[in-house]
Amino acid sequence: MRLKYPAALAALLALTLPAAAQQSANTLRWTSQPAIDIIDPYFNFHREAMLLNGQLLWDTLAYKTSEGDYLPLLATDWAWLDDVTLEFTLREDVVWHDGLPFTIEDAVYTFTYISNPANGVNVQSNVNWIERAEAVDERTLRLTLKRPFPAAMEYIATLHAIVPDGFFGETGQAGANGRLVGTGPYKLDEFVPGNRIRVVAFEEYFGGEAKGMPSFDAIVYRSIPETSTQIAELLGGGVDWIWRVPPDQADPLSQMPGITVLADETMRISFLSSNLRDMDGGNPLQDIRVREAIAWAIDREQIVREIVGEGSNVIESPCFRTQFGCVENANAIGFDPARARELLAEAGYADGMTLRMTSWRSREWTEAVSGFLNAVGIRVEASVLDYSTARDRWVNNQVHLILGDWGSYGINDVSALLNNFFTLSEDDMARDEEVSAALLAAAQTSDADARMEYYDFAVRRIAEELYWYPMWTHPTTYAFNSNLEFQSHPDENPRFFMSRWREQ
Amino acid sequence: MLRFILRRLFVGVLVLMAVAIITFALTNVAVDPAVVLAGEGATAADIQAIRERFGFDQPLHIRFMAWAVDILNGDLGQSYRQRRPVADVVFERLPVTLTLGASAFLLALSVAIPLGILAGLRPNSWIDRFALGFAVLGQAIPNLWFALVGIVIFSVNLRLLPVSGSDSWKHFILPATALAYYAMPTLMRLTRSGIIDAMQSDYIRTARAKGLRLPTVVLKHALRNAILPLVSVAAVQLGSMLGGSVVIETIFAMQGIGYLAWESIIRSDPPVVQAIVLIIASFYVLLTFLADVLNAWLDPRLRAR
Repeated sequence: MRLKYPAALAALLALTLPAAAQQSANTLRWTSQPAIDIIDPYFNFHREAMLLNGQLLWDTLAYKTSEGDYLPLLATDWAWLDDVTLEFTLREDVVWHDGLPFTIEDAVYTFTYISNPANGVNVQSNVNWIERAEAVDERTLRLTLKRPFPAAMEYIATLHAIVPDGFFGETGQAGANGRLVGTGPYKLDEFVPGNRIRVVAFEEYFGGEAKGMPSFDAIVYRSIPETSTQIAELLGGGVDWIWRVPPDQADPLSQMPGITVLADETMRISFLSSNLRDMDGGNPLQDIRVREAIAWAIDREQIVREIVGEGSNVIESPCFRTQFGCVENANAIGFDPARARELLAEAGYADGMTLRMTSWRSREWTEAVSGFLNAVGIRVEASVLDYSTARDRWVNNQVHLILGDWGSYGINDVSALLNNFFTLSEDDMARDEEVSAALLAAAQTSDADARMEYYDFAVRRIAEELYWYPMWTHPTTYAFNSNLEFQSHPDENPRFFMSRWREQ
Repeated sequence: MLRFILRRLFVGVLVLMAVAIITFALTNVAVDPAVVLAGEGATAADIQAIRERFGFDQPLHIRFMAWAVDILNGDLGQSYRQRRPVADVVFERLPVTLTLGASAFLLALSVAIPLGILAGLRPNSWIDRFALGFAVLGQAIPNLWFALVGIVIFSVNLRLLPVSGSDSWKHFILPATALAYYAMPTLMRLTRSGIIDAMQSDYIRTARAKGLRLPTVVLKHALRNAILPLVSVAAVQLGSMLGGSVVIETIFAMQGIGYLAWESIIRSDPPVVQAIVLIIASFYVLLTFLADVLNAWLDPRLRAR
């Protein structure tokens, strides 16, 4: 007992004093794993830089809410002139963090720069549908697309931060023109590559319905690679907010006074993808009865309940339910190992078979799926690799199954998901020409009804043929100081500009 | 002595060349850097464009030769991820690693040598048992676990030390201790066995017979001989602390080259990984060389070998 009380008191102090200190300083300190070396949103792979810091420092033309609605941001309104032409009217009262006014040249420069393949923006598919940008007049921006691209506004309102004219200079580095500034609600105060980013409130921000005026005096990001250290920092009061807490840590953390744990579903889905291409020694997966047997063999509910954790749900369609084009319950298959064995016997595999499977997200998930397949006689040689090596394996036709996942970059349209895997590219393991034609047609048509029809066909075909067996949605678990007002969103985009400290 | 030094230098250069070849091959063959750089969702055309832009479409030996020539000219290349010179990226992180390594090394020596001397002077006594127990624990406990326990006790519960970062001297206490505790047992055991051997030798008996005081005998005569093997091992230990701080720097989120190495491996930034491995290998080679020279100076018989 002599040891217990001081330790408990110290722990209690650790949880209450720093929170009060941060509240009085009106600062939010958050941490995540990636070390951010590049501040701009276009040469980054990290969501932490692209979205979290990106949307604090910079603004997009429009703002996409988590419900999928678009609100005015740097543009007051916009309209499609035809299938390939979008026009935006820009706000007049916007200034950059250095006090210079935001002009049409800035917007034209941004789209011209990012759409030029020679400049090498990281994810080309985010920008390679833009033909050109031009100024119609001082306040009207016209974007011409290379082809009809109905999901354009999804990207423009999410990923296409507007940077000042000449921002990348000749070196391609952010702020090469001496103006490392944005128009967002917070301005950059300190950036130590790989370590921390501190942004402070920009008092001349135009406000508006989308983001409003800044609620914190400062927001500080620090990279901490080790999850245990992140949790220790949260408990010790060194940071106020962490995310991607492992399920096994979430429960004990939620018992701690002063800490709120929130597990929420995200748009990222897991799927079991079958390789239908010819392989040396034959490919049992070319028989749909084998693919169906695999589906009946796996108890997804149990894996979600016991391993993936709170916030995750089993899905019955190869897409996320809010995405345009997603058809719910496309092919509901339950857990019935006896049925799986019957199907294997019918297909001539009563003695089982050996399949190679690769994955890159979680060893536990992979082992769970392998375990269920082993139980019905399918021996699985599983390899958990990094994404690029796993991709090499399926592109080079070396595996039968992939336990994969895709987050669609938070884009609420199935084109951001299925078009990556079913359009006869090297990532396409099903090679279904009809599905590919439907997806490509849907991605190049503005007519919503026609698009829905194409997607309905493609989604049902993928589900019914079991090219993908849909598994579950990924949860994101957040843990934060209970005095912080914070709301999660399914697009995995924590909107810090909507958070604030509670009044004490 | 000059011939000895030149011979050792030549071996050091050979080691560095071997390290350079192996590192380059491993970092370029293990993964396709173009695929990694292109990221999720990249098309085959995107990946090919990156291959051409960074020269990944060239044969491996041509790329190695170009890289080796650049290294010899003092150019460590360009970081794919940070889009700036590797030298800037690495050298701005080096002070943290050097500070951590030096602090841990000094801490390890300052505990291991006195404890080894005390244990060696009184074999099988309670102090010897304590020292051996301390050494066994140090070798048995992974420094990862030791670091986490330290964080829970001193940072979360007692709030005496910061959890992570490298902004002030306080940030170095826990990581340096964790790193030092792992190195202490070897140093302590070597000191102990060296002292036991020395104290049983004829020249020590003579010194004691001449009436010299024990501290003088130990520090002036016994330690000088006992320390010979310690010099070589300590040099390797310092090298390990500089190179082996990857885990500790990662746990404590310290902005050193160990953490940078981890980041660069995770994000596949081969030029940075290659530079870090070369720098750490150079430290090893330099320290081993210095230890050899020091040993040869302390014991002239070694020069002839």
